[in-house]
Amino acid sequence: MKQPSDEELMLAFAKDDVQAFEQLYSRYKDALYRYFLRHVSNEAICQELFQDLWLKIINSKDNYTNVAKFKTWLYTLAHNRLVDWYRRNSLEINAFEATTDDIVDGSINWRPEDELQTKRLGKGLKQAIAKLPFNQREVFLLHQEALLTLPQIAEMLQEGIEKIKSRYRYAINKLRLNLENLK
Amino acid sequence: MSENHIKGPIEDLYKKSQDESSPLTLDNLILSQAKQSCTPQKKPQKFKRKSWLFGLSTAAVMVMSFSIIINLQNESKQITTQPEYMDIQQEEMNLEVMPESIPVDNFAQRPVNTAPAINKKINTQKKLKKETAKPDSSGLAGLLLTTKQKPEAAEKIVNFIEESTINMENKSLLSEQPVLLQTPSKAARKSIEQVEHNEDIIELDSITIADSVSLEAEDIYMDREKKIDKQIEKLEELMTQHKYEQAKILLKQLKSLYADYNFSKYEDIL
Repeated sequence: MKQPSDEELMLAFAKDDVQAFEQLYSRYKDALYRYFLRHVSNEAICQELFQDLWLKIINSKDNYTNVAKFKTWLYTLAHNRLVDWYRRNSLEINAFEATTDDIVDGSINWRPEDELQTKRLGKGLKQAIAKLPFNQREVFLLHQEALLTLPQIAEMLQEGIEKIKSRYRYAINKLRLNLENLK
Repeated sequence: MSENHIKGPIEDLYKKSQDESSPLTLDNLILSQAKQSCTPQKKPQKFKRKSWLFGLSTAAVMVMSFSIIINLQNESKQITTQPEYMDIQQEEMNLEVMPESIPVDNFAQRPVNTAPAINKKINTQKKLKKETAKPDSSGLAGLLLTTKQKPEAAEKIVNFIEESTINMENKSLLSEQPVLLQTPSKAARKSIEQVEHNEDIIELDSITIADSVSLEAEDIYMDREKKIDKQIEKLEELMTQHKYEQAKILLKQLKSLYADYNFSKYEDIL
């Protein structure tokens, strides 16, 4: 049986279909939660932002139009909420823009079958993500959590595709470097 | 680097370590908010008036207003009848009593009586007025009122008046005295004074006749009231003796005899 698209579910929710919202929520809740959590590294703040975002979606259901993809719309709202939170807390968003000097080429010696090592590396990776500059972390998370493609991210953030690609590459290289340091 | 999704050891490791999820309490909170947004907000319940109560109250108001209007109309009619009567009285007095209208030459030919007699009649009239208290309850006005209030007594009163007027006409023919059915007005009194001054006294038997007519009407009415009271007493006795069937028959008879009387109290009991 064909699953209804996000847009269809959102339109159904706009017509007071609560089950449609439940389905939509179950699709995105965890990814979105992690998106906020990786950015703020604080569960309380993460929950606050997460709740704010969903309430905004609930309240704006009547104004929803099937112009953009729901996922893009959802993460745009999440991004804006996050930027707003950063600004309110006087945190620098563009503090660190990657340069070519920062690129570290290397590979990690990770064995996926080793669960203990995976856990340890996973923990290290999360810490490394938290240390990433906002723009690189944003591209990495949008790609890994929201499963948006780089062109979609570029469109969403209204940036050039090459800039997004380089941000992503820098993010990966930094994470790899951090993981190498863990060994 | 592919355009769709990039795969590498970092990405794989990240996917393996994605173990966080939103707390259940937060999920429930958000879902409840969504449900609230979908359920239409209930309007504050207004005080629902019972339709029959509204209808009943309007009907009651209508009945009350109609009864008030009818009463006012009756009262106004009663008020309007009084001046008419007074006008007629005035005219009659002018025609029959006013000495100015009679030539001096014929003045001696007019019927005369003694002064104390007239004074006596006027005093009796004043007495009657005092007794009846209400100005319109004496004389013909009072008579009119009694006939209006008690339609059954009206016929008796009319018959009585007719008889009395016939008798008085006969009497006047014999004694050649003028007959009046009304009480004297101020003009009449003036004329009487003038007559006294001229030592020509006109007997006004009509004054006593009008009063006696009103008294007779009152008596008839009182008799009727007494009769009704007696019948009601009988009815109550029957009810106290638990003779309800007899009481019902008596009540029916009373209702047919005295339609204007309110027996609803006894009807309800029976």
